Amino acid sequence: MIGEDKQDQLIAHLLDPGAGRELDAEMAADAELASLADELRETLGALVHAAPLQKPPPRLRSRVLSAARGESIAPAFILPGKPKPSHKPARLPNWLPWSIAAGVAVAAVVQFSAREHYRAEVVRLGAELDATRRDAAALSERNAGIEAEFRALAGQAEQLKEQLASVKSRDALSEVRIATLTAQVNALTRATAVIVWDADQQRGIMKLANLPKAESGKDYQLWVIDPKYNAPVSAGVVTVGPGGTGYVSFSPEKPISAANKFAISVERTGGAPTPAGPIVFIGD
Amino acid sequence: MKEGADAERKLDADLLLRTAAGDEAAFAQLYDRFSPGLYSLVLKMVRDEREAEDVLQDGFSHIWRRASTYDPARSSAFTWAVMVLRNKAIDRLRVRQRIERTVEKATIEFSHFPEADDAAASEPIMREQRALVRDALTQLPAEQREAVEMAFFGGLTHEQIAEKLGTPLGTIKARIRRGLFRLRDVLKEEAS
Repeated sequence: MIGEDKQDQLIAHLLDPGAGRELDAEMAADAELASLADELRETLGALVHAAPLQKPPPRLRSRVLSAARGESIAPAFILPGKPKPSHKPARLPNWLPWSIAAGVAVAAVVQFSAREHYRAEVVRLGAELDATRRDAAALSERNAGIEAEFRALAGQAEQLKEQLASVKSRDALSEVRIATLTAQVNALTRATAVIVWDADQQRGIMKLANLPKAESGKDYQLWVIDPKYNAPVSAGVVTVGPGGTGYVSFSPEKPISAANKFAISVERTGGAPTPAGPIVFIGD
Repeated sequence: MKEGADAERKLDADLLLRTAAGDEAAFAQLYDRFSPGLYSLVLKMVRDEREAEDVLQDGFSHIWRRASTYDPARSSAFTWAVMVLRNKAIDRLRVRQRIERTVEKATIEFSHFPEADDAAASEPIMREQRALVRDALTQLPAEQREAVEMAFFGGLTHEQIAEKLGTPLGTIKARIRRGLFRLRDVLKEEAS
């Protein structure tokens, strides 16, 4: 006799196979319990007829049958001690299971190969990523170094510019000569004449002081003595201003390679091509 | 009627065994015989046509693959298929956590049990079975019928039904037990 508790457990198990699984073992050993389970199972199955009858949509039939064709069938399972069904089932072609097995094997190999390929690819990409990160770090460091180097070079360039300017300045000065002329006659001992000569520019400036005007019909004329020429090179007539002063800018008539001396002579008005009158000032 | 019902059972069992051997034609025939009843069951449980179709397809796939586990000595082929489909429907209900909503709808429906469309049942045997079950159900006390249908169609456990109805668990268990035993007896009597 099965107690109500056990009956309730059995019903719960039939309604929800997940509940009371231990009853499966009990039913295997208890014929009465198994028989009751069979009866109640059939009763529950009959309850389907209590649902309003609804036919499934026609399209579902082909869907179900197509889906089933694409699925394999579980191997037959016969309970121990139970007679095999007398019905002899229809057999599928012998080659079909082998074909399916072969297909599965091939698919497995392909899948395995693909997995190995992708795994190797992942490893390779990971290594590439690491290498790229290292390169990026190195480039960043190198960039920082280049920037520092650039800043240093820019500073050096500024220094070089300054040095160049300084050198140029020094060269410019090196090309300039200052000559003080000395009076060669007693009447002009109070007079002074100083010349600044720029060989690069081939120009000069002469400043005069206390120089009396030349007598009538005469002019002072400046000369540059260069060893390259046999005669002094004229640098023009010197005009004396009020009070015996003058500020004369001059350019020799010929290119001067070496201005060894400067001289002033008294020549006719307007000057002469070569010195003809007396030298009143000379200096180097 | 009993002889006709037995012949039907034998035919169903034969089709299922042939299906276990991979006979597609038998499987298609089985589908034609079982699908109306099973679809009705699933639709009543999941309350959604699209879901019912999915469950039916899933269930028949299971039948195709696992037909070899059917034991003719334990149940009819149809009952075995009913249990397969019902479990699939319960899985669906649980996964989607729609039990609560379903119960509410089911409870309303159970209060005025709808007339089955017998005209849709093409097989005379099926029409007789439907009438038999409906008649048996009407012989149950309302609270037993309600509890049985909530358990069977609603997929609810004893505990869930007790909570839903605000009734002690022991009472619910007793109602379901007595209702099922009563149904079993009535169906046996009427079938004989």
